[in-house]
Amino acid sequence: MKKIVLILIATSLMTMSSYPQEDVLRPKGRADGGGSKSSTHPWALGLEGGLSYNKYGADLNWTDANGESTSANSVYNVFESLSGLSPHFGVFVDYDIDKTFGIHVKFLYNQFKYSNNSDGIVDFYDPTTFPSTYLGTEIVNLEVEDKFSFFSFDPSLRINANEQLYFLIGPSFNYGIGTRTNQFDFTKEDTGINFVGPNATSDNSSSISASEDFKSTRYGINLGAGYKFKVANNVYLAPQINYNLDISSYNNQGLFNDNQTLTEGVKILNISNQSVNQIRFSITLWFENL
Amino acid sequence: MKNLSIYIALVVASFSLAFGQNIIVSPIGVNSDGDDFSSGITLRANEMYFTADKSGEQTLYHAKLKNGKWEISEKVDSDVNSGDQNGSATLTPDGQYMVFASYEHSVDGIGRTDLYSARKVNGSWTDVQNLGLAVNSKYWDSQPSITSDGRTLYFVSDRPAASGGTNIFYSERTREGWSQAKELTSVNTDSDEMSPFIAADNKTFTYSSNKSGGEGGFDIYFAKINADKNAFGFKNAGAAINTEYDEHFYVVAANSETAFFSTNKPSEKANFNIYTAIPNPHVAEDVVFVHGSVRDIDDSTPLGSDITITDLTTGQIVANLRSDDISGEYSSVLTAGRNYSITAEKEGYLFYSENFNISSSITNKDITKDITLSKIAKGKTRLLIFFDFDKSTLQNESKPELARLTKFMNDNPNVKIELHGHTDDRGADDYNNNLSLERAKAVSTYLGNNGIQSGRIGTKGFGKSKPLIVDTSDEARAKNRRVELVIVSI
Repeated sequence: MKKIVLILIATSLMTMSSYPQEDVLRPKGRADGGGSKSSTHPWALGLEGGLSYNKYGADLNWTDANGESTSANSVYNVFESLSGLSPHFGVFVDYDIDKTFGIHVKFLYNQFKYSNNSDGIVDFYDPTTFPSTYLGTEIVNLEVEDKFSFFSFDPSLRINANEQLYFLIGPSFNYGIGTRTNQFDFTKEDTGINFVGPNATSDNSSSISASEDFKSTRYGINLGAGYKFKVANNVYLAPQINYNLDISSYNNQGLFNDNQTLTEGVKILNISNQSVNQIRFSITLWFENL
Repeated sequence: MKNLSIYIALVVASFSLAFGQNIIVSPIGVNSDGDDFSSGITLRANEMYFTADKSGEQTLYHAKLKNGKWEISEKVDSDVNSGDQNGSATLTPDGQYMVFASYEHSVDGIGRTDLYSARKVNGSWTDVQNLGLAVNSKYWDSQPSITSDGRTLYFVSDRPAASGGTNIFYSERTREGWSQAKELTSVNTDSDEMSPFIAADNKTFTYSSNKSGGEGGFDIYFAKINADKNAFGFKNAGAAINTEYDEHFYVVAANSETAFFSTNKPSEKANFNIYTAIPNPHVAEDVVFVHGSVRDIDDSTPLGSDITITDLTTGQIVANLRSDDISGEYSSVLTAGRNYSITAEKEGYLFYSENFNISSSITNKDITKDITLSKIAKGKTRLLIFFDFDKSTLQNESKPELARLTKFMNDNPNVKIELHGHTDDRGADDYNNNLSLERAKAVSTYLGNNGIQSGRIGTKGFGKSKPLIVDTSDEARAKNRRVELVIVSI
């Protein structure tokens, strides 16, 4: 991560050195002898939309009954890594400070969605007896999906490498909207030991769905880069890539609290250092010289 | 047969009119892969000062037209090219005074990019000066264009203004220097207006703008401008010149079909390049070239001198210029239908004055007027002094010459002179002797009234005894009627 940031900064600094402050043909803030924003028309508005690649990660730590660190062949190991694609779209406002620097502020509807599935062992018990009778250990597949949406506010410093290539760096403020949904789907082969209970959808499958009003606020760091192509007078199309680094903790975040524990038999799973990072692939449309 | 020829000519003419001009756009030889733009041309369009960006630094270059091709002569002197970015030059018709733009020049500026002047002395551009607060601002001021009489300077600025974007401003030369710059409101819009150019007729105007409705990017626009700085007759230069890319610096050569402009449309050479457009579709009025050389009367050495051309009807100075220090050559642009005086002055020499008329029906618009100057030590010069017929009353047209004579006497306090009056061949000897003496005394009285000691001035009347030209034509008689200044001692 650190390496990516350093490379981006070094690249922008190298290309900045070949970009004059101003000259007799172009006043400060102008990228060329015409076409792009003038120093007295520094504003631009735009549209942005695309697909995001979301990556959930966490540290999983299994301990035994004595609190000793151990391992487990559990379906809950699925929480180690989840990923998925989701859409984002919104608008942005851009302002030229000078030929090299500007302010770029995005307002996005930003969905996060990630999933994974994993095979592991599950101990089955008869819930109708007391104490519960051990029925056997089965290999079960668990598929997990988590989905929630933010209103994202990303104010960034824009650094122009040249007329077309630019970089973005800044904080990311994400405000939860709508409903967060989790889905846990267990499936196994027909072995005679069945899923029972209110979550059982058949003898060999069980499903847990949860949803809640998503009122979370999360913070991150946004790094981006884009490349402009002129499509009409004062109109530019720029493919853009952004990396959103999650820096918030997961305390009191509902189902995915940090330091959450799950029990598998006598073993306990501690889930910590959860993070959800995002790479956004966007197409942006710029309307300049406002 | 004759009728048939006329008929064919009319058909061809109407055919041409119906289908318009075929404008040929060609790149010139000085273009490089960096930006090349802003062709500040001399009066005869055989020399050019253009801006080239060869290694990230805009620099002013001098180019000459040789055998129909433009070739770089040299980089302009370092006194001019001492900023981080230098260029966009405009010149007076005599090619001796330049206004250019520079970012971070070694001569302190007022804002980011400023306008500077430079003079040509002994073949080198020097004496760089910032044009000052009346013209420059703390913002970007660039892309100057000066009128052929050197009295009005148009330029571009991104300072806050009534219109948005970059705008065209103008400043006028006064006795105190350049006047406070004003917006050219009849041209400016909320888009960006740049690269103004005023042709030698001081009416034909071009500029570039990225306002909507053009071919794309910056386009060249044509207009005319009147004495009140109101522009009218706006017209896009059209698809032969404008493209979806950026066009700037449309420069019209005087009395010529050639125009120059700069564009960054894709071509063999990258970035901005300079092109010619022939025939120029935005025709300027023909002007009268007056040119010649100033030389020492004894050994024909070329002399750099200050030349003043005055409209004798209005008494207004229409041109202040210099003859080149090395070649002695000068050139200027004048309007037909006027009576002018021309005076050349140089330290150590007697000034020279002559009056001449440019007929409104003149066909040859190229007038050569060579001037010879006498050293003060043994000098004699004719004074442009005018009298009422048969009288010794000084006419108003004499005032500039009398002022010049007074200044000469003040600048050379040890000089003693004689004023010799002469008449033409008509009239009695006694009468002419007396009239010529009275006219010499009229000039002497004027000098005395303006602080020149009478002991320094002698007067003589020669009547018709010493004609310059022995002839009875009106022209010869006009030349023979004169008052001469003769140096007696220094």
